[in-house]
Amino acid sequence: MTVLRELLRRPRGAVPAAWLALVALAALVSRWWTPQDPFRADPYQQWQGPSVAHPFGTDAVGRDVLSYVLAASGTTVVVAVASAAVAVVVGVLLAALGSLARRWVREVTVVLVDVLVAFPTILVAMALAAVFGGSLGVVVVAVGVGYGVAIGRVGRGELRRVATSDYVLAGRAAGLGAWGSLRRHVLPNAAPVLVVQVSLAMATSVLAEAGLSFLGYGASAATPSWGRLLSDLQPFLAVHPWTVAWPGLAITLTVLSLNLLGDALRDAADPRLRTSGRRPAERTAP
Amino acid sequence: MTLDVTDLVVELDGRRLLDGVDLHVPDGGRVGLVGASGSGKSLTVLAVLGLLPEGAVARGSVRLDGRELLGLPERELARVRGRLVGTVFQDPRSALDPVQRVGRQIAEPLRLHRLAGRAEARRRAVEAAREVDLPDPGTLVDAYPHQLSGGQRQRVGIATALVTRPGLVLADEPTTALDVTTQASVLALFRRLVTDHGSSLVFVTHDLAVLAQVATDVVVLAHGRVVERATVPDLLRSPASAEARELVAAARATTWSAP
Amino acid sequence: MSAAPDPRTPADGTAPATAAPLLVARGVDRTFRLPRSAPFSPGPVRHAVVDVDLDVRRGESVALIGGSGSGKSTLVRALLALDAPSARGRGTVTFDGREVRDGRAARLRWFRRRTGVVLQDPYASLDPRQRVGRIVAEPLEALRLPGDHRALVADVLARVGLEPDAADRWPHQFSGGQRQRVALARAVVHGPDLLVGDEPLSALDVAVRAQVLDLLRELRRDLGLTLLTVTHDVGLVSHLADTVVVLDAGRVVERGPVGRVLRAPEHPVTRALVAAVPTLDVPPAG
Repeated sequence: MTVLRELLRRPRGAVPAAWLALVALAALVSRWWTPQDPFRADPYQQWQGPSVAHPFGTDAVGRDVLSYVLAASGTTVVVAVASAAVAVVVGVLLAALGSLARRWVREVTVVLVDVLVAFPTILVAMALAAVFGGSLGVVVVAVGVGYGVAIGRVGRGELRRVATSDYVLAGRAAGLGAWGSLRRHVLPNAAPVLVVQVSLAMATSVLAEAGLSFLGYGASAATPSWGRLLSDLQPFLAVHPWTVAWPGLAITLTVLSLNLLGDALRDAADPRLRTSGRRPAERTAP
Repeated sequence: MTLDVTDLVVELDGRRLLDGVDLHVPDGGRVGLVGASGSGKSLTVLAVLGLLPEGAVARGSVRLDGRELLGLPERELARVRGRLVGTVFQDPRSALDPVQRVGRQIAEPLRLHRLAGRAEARRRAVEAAREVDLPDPGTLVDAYPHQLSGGQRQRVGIATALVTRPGLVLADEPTTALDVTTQASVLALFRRLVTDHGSSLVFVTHDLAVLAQVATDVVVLAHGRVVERATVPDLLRSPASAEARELVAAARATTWSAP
Repeated sequence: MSAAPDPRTPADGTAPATAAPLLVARGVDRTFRLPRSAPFSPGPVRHAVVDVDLDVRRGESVALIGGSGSGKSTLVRALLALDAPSARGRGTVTFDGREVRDGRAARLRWFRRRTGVVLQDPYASLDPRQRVGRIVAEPLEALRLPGDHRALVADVLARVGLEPDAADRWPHQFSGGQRQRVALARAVVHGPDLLVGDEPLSALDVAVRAQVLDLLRELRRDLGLTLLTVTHDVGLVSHLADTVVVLDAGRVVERGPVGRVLRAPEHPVTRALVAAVPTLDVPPAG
């Protein structure tokens, strides 16, 4: 598709895309194979530096850090995608209710959204974890609903902006019905802003999962997680400062890439910003 | 106040946007600057004000009452703008700050240039609002822009430009966004105020019919150059350049002459 | 191109009295509820159009003039069954003998087939995310008309003076005048009987305006269109219309042949409008 081509043509689209593709690949591959068993603790191999057998070294209990990081990428991907899915469902529902339903429904939705948007997502996740016990499900629900509400609010604004535009009116005049208008004009024009919101939701979910797992509220000990690894390595930071770089880098690069990708995707989808367009010759009438 | 623009050249990114423009406005004169989109008329106004876009370079001479403005440091230019030269822009919706009351915006040039204290500035703002035929000026000055109609907002813009009694008024398409009846009264306003205050006027427009209502002389621009200079009746009667002929023909084709 | 006078429009500006009525409106009324100032009181009501009757005969060119706020845009939307969702009203509109009832898009298809609309702002009436070819083809697709759409689009683009490869370009690559030509192309591609314009020339430069005006006249002649134009530009009206209907505060205050109305306006509102037209006669000095 041209959108993909436009995305990869720019460095700020290509680089994040490349990193995320790598993470996705690692997640996929690690389901079936990792260089070593990520959970295998070998007390005789504690704190090894990088070597052929352990390219990222080993941790306090002798686990191969590379294998663990690879396995944890699967967790990251699952959480990010699940959160995004929940956010989109909640967001689209709220946006639709806020703009297309009957007047009182619209007004109630708007108030509800405005109230919910005020709650900081990560705090909500912690609160939920305190009540229901820590788990990845808590992260997914908290981030999904938190961003769903933001998408709902932004989505409503976009839906209204596009729905009242002249080209939608022209479409009606040409004979388009409500569904036709939605498909042909409203979604393509409202979607790009939502793409950014979805990528932000994913970025926040990665951060939230890492943070909660770090605190012990997120992934359980049996689930590999970058945040959890950070938490395991943290007491030894003063003595072994370098090992922590691997999960830390993984988290940072992934969150950054998701943030950047959203913006780059939105720009790539905008025909006005095409890098390959040229003005038509002014031979015709003005 | 007299304005003498001589051989004004403006370049941006290697392109010549204005190529030797000459414009002379006598004291109390009303000169129209007309041309198609992209002919450089708005750019000329911006060059006089020293408000060219980033990276643009201007050469030549712009003299206000004999004083050279081109090349003046920004601080000096800021003292000229709003005080000696008043400007009215095209879009009444975006030219006003939506979160400031209208009276405060009219009074702003007075406060900025320390020409009046708060009470005095407010009094003069109300007076300026009255002069531009805004209804109930004493109350209206406390309104916000969104509470006024397009025509009223444009009048506020005019009041702001004239409140300091500038010697020169620059108007860039001030009536283009207005409907026909509002446009007529705003044009009459320009004619009257400029005469009453003795200001000189440069009026930029693409519409000759509008220009005929307000200016005595006209300068025709095309592709950044002056292609014709004439009094308004002469231009309408017998335009010499191809661009002027096209503008006159277009004006005739889209307007109506009372029998 | 003021060539030989069109036999349908006699020089004195009257439409032939024998032409059949194409669009007939009776008792059209539209009100809007404004946002409320107190939470539980209904908001104030604005009467945009009050009890308007209108006749447009086949082949005629009618201009609907008035200042801003006179209700002309609301009236034209009412006539086209394109009301804003918040408009409430009464009245009947008949097209070629058949009543136009507001409802689902499918029920109005017959009406949409025979009408075309051009809006004021060429920068807002074309979907920025679609190529010109698809924009112009919209009526053909929405109405599911048979035939070679590509050929029809190419044909109409040539008719409005644009190059054939314009169909592959994006709207942002064209100037305002060119975009308005695209809008005109979209409005006539499906061969309507009636072309309605809502201030179609107001946003254009005078030089471009003259050219698009010529195009409008040409299209009227070549395609046998009936025209209904809304405008505040009274000067324009003398070059475009046979009949003039003057609106003020939602009511029709005067109507008649364009020559008579402009030369000898009867109603004070009409007089004010005519007096306000900037003519090429220079006002007396001072």
